Amino acid sequence: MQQLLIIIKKEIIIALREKLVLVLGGIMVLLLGIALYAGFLSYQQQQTIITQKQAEKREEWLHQGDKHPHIAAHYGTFVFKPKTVLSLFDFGLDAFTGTSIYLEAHHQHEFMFRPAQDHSSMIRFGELSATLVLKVLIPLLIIFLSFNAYTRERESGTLKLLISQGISFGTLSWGKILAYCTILTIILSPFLIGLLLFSWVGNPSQAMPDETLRLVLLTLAYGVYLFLFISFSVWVSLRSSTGRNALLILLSSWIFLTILMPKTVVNLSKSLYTLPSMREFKEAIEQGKVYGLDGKTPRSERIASLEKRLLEEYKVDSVHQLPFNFEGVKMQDGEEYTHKVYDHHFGKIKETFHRQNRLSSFASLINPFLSVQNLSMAFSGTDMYTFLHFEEQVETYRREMIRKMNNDMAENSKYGEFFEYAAGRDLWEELEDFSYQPPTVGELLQQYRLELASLFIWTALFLLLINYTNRKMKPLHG
Amino acid sequence: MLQATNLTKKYGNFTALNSLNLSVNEGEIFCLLGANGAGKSTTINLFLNFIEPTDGTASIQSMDVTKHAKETKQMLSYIPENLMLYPNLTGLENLDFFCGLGGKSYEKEQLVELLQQSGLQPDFIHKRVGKYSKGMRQKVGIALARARQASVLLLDEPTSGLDPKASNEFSELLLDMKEKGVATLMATHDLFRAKDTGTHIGIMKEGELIEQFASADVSFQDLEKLYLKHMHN
Amino acid sequence: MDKSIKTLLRYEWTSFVRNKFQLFMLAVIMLFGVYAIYSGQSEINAQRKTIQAVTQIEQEEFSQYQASFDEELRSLEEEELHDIASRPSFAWFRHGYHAIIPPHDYAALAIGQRDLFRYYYRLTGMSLHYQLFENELANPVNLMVGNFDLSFVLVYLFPLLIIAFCYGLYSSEKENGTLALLQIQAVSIRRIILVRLVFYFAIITSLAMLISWLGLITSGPPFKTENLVPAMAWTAGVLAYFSFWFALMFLIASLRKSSSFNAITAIACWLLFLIVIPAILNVVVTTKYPLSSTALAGLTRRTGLEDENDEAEVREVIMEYLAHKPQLAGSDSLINDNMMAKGYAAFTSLKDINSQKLVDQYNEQVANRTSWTSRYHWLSPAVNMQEVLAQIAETDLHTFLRFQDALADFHGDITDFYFSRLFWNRPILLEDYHNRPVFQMTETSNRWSSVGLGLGKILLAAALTFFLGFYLFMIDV
Repeated sequence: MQQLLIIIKKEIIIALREKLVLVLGGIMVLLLGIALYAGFLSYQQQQTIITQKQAEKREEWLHQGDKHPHIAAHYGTFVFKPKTVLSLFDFGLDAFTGTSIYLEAHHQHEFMFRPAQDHSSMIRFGELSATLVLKVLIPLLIIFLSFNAYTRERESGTLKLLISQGISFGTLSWGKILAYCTILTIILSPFLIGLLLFSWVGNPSQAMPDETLRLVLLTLAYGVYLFLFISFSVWVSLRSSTGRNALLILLSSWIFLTILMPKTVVNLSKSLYTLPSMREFKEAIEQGKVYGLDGKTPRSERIASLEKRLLEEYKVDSVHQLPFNFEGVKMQDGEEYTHKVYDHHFGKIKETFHRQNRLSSFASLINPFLSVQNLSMAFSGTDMYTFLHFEEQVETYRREMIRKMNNDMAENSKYGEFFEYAAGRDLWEELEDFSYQPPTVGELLQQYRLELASLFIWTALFLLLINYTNRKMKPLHG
Repeated sequence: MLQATNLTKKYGNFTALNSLNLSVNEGEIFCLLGANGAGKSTTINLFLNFIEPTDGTASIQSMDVTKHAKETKQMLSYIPENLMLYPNLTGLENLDFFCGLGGKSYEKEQLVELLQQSGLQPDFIHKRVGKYSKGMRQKVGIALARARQASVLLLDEPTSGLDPKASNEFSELLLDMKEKGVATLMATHDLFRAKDTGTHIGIMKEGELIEQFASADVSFQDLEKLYLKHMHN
Repeated sequence: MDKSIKTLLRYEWTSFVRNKFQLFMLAVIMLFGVYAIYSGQSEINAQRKTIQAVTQIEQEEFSQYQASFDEELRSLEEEELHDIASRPSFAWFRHGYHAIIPPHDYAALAIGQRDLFRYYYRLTGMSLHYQLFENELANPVNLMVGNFDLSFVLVYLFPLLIIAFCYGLYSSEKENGTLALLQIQAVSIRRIILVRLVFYFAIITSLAMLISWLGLITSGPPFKTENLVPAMAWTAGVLAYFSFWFALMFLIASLRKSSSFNAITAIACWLLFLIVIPAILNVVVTTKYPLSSTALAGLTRRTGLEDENDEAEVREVIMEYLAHKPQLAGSDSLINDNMMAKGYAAFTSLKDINSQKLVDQYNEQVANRTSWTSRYHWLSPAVNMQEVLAQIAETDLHTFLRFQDALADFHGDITDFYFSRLFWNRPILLEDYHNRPVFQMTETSNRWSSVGLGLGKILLAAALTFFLGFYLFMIDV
């Protein structure tokens, strides 16, 4: 134990006397600071716009004046995807999913206004976010810090001296690993404090309920990820004969894990599971609406059968005698059929999304970078699951809105009249303002089981590997 | 103290060391002479348990080094041909670090004194080892051996590349350790140093110890003749 | 050629061929290149298929309309169709025109912004802004990660290959201990390093050319007139960009540090140019020019007249619109016919007119962002290169912004065509179908000059880096 502490101390002192490490560490701290601050600024900007617009649109809805409920349903309202406070840490998909959704009768509007379209083409190179620094750049710092962990001792001969002191490779490896962990913790601690402060300051009322838990999980996930990188680097250094070899192996792995593989996997998933074009998608929905999902029950037939059913049920001979406005019921019925058609086709799209993203989940079993990328977006509330979850809630809300309008029309207006009837503010107020409830952490963890498993498996694997190699190792080959 | 019994090391078909028998007692300095590749370093590395013997045992105080790796290492100190320390640490810090690893803790003043006793110029004690000459690094090695209170000293050509003065100082330190009862095994090319400092001398050739005698029994001239005779066969 | 240089080259070749790892890396990058070409082409082919389908729909729609003129009208449906074909009050919001920006043959090699922005729109005479903001279906994850096309392989991966081949240019000699032997030769060390640099430049660039031309040839015949200049520009771009990276490796070698230091520095430069600089510029521009398209959300709202039966209200709307478009105004009696259709047409057009300012503001801010970032392109040759390749393949942002402008003009043509008939109560005749609006986008004159400028910047950076390295090698060897 005492030996371990001494080794840790020595490694830290040596690392701190290394100019390159100091400079790179300083740059990382600076980048993290900028990323955090800029993330906070853009979060605040977006959040202000969104709350303001949301309130504005709500006012517009309430003050739209007296009109026929169906016109109101067309007038509709807007819903904005709230920025989660943790999005200042990981922007995730936020720039590429839509931000606002227009809710109106008969039509679903999805994916409008991708923020990436507001940017210059440079946005495709990626934005500076804290997660970029942690996921991609810090591992590089780790490589620079530790590729020489053993090779320098080996090349300069101090390794022999160390072992002749009766130190085991186990103690030595763990000393080095823990020393690098300590250095990283020191580099990252101002960032952690800053993140806590910002998320505390920027925490608006409708923030995620389990934000603290999410923060803890984020820290854990990144902690494990960086630990994996450190132990991998030390292990490679232990196995390599020269520093040059170790560096070459580590850099190749870094490029493969953080740049090449994520891109290839996603690209592959795109060609394996193709999406229809928007035109095909809309066309299919239109066809479904007009000719029925099975292609054999056109709208007129559906209306006729509804009419027949209602007339039988109320034992009257004409729709004029029904105790409600048949137009309203007909409209709601048509709307519900549209929902069925939409759910069918959008379900297929979602299925394709799911399959595409599933591939990256499976790939994360090989590459912890992918696990931490997916988990980080999930905990920050900027992932695909949360996005679809949001869309679902919005769609439910839209349907609720239309149902309220159509029911009001059925109850309060007469058959054959349209402009004669106008509803007022009382009705508009019946529709509550939309407020988004993000998925709970439990739900997210369920979704990302593979990613979690990957982190566990890799940690276990590395612990075993390091211990195995330590026992087998001799300072001289032969 | 140091005992090799039928100690053998083979690399495939090549025999680096063949059935070596040798013992070094307290207060003795055993010098191994021989050409490059005669098996001197192999012997030292076997005692250090850096490599596994193919056959036979190397033991320190009757303990097999492969079976009691930890205990035997507690007793020994090792100085390789080119003692490399951490260039970014000062001599004092290096000493403190290695002592600490061996479980010995000293006050700073004691370490400074040890370094001075080992002949390191006082103004270098607080300088980084990157600036040291080879002789200075060897002195830190000696200080380390003293600090560890090692009863066994393993030296692999410690004086090669040192200037005569530094080499002489190094011998003085070895003799001093000898007085304290340390058993020393030293591989060297330096016949003069072996005769001058060693109590016993062994000549190795192609993995075998072919001659072994007390250094007092031969004159320097005889030693040189003997050595060259073996080398030429 | 100097004899010593011949010897140098011969031995460099021997050691190159014997280094299995290097050969393996070349093979791997070749594979990635081929995959990138395939993947880019399949993306663009999918777009071509959509375009084809869309064009076909439009053709069918209009040939139906045209056919309805010469047939004896029998069924009710046929009559309805003829109404849509001939009566502007039905036609103006039903006739759909497609504005398409067809992919350049080489778009498959540099997809650029083609996956993010729409490349086709169906426009009717209705409010333009209402029709403009629908997006193409795409998995956001794919958009975030970006395309695996040939430009990615060239801009991102090849520099890594160059680093892997050249980080030990000088230092490996030092570390192997052979430096002293070299130094006593008649040839100067700088010369030896340069010969090696040229050797690896030749090898890596030939590989890149091989892949590039494979892509160019399979994507579209390079000797067709419209492809020849792009193909040449592409080749020049690759040469310029690779020169920069080799010059950088030369500069790093001239510092005469250890191999590890060189590798670290080179990778740090790669990171700086490809990730850190663009990321920081993005952050700066976002905070400097705050902008959110959410402000435009309101434009997509489908609103109508408050009360379509209120004649006074409808007339008021029409008069307001006619004040903007005096050329459509006629006598009062003209208005009374088909007043509802006119009212609706006027209403949606007014909406466009009124929201134009908001849209202009938005577009201006996007333009600000673009021009601000492009002012800093020189900071990173990689960003510059990506932009150049996208410009060559006509997939750059600028092309899409021009597309937006062309869309607005086209929409103007469409409304002119229908509204002049609607408001003057003239039917649409069969012969009118021959001069219905056609979408066109004018070629900009400055495309090649900005490609040239981009290339110039890269070459300048390469030259400066190289001469700095040359100078550093000159002082004390």
